[in-house]
Amino acid sequence: MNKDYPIFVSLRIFALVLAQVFICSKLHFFGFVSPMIYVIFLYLYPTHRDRHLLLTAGFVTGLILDIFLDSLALHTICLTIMCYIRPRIMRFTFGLNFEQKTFRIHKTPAQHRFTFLYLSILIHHFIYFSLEALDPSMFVWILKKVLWTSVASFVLSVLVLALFSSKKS
Amino acid sequence: MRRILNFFLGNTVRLLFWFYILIALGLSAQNQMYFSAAYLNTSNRITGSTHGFFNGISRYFSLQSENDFLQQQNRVLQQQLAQLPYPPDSLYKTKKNFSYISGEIIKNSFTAKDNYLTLSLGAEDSVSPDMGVVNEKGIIGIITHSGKKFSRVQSILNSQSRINAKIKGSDFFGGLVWDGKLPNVVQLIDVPNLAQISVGDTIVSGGMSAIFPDQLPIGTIKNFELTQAKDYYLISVRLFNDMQNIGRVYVIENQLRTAIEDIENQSNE
Repeated sequence: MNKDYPIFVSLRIFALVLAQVFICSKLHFFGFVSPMIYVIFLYLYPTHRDRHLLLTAGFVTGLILDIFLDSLALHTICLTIMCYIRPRIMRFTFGLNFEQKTFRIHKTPAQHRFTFLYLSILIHHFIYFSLEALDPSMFVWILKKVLWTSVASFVLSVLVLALFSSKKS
Repeated sequence: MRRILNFFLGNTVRLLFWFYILIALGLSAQNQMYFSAAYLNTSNRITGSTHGFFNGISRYFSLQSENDFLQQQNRVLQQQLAQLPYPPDSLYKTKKNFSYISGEIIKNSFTAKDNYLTLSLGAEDSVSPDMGVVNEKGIIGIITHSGKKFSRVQSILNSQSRINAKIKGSDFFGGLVWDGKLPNVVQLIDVPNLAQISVGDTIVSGGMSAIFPDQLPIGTIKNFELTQAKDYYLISVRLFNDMQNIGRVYVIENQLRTAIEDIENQSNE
């Protein structure tokens, strides 16, 4: 069965939101690191689907997260921006392969996939914490949060993807 | 006209993006300015109930420690009761007309710069905005929005918070703020340099507002320094409370608040 059917995509996004709100937001590594695994939304969403739909899905997902996490529309802004720039990040990571209609993210080499995932997490976290602080004097705080949280988010995201991957080796 | 139409048709993704960003910024600004829409925070019935459900499951696993804590608290209260100079029936009401409503924090956050908590009490339980939230170890925050069954609490770990506090045993007051760095350290600012302070001194609530009573514990002085102008202290305060682990709390209702605010408004006019 094709995993890119809207119903499956919606279910995966719903599961991500639940995991973020009720598991990841309650994790506090070293007392200040709360991983954000919902960024794998950008990885899981079908590649050549209509961009309007991608933007709308990102906006709605962010809004639901903000409602549950009291985060003043920060997730909405970040996820909408990430959905908008996703094709550029993909073009940067996968090069010309991305232009082909047959391109599927799970068929690309692992190092490309991980680069895309980490780059997305890094940019997302940088936007998120910069907007949260909204103060240039907190630049060191922003960098510290981005660095540690992105590592935690990346490790957890890779684990989640590995756990739910249907690929048989 | 055709050009304008072509521009819109050719840039639909960009326009949609800016449309969503503007909506998000609008929601964010609305929330910042305290006119918080009921649907955009966890005091909402659906989100509050969901957090309550999952909190119920996780609390189930800490029943033993909760039980130990209650026994210990019971012992301390019985000792205090035995030493009371006035009859026990005045226990629930302090001299200053503050009454306490017991509740539970069902959603806690402390890693963000502006932290909010969700409380299991709402307007149905006579909880309303601008009431204080404390536990046995000290101040936790102030209620900013109360739904029917749940309320949102602005934690003391929030850049918008400013709570009146003083050094115990003196009348030097200051404002308690948070710099967003460590979840167990807050800052006491605007304490005049005339104050005699030393590391380890206790900080308590100042009682200058109608929200918290006087002398509620907050923390101890971790370190301090003078500001650049050398006229005020900047004091780091280590909290008594473990803000990362908050369960049972009490909402403080000041029954004289309306009367105090009325008289203050009259004098302002």
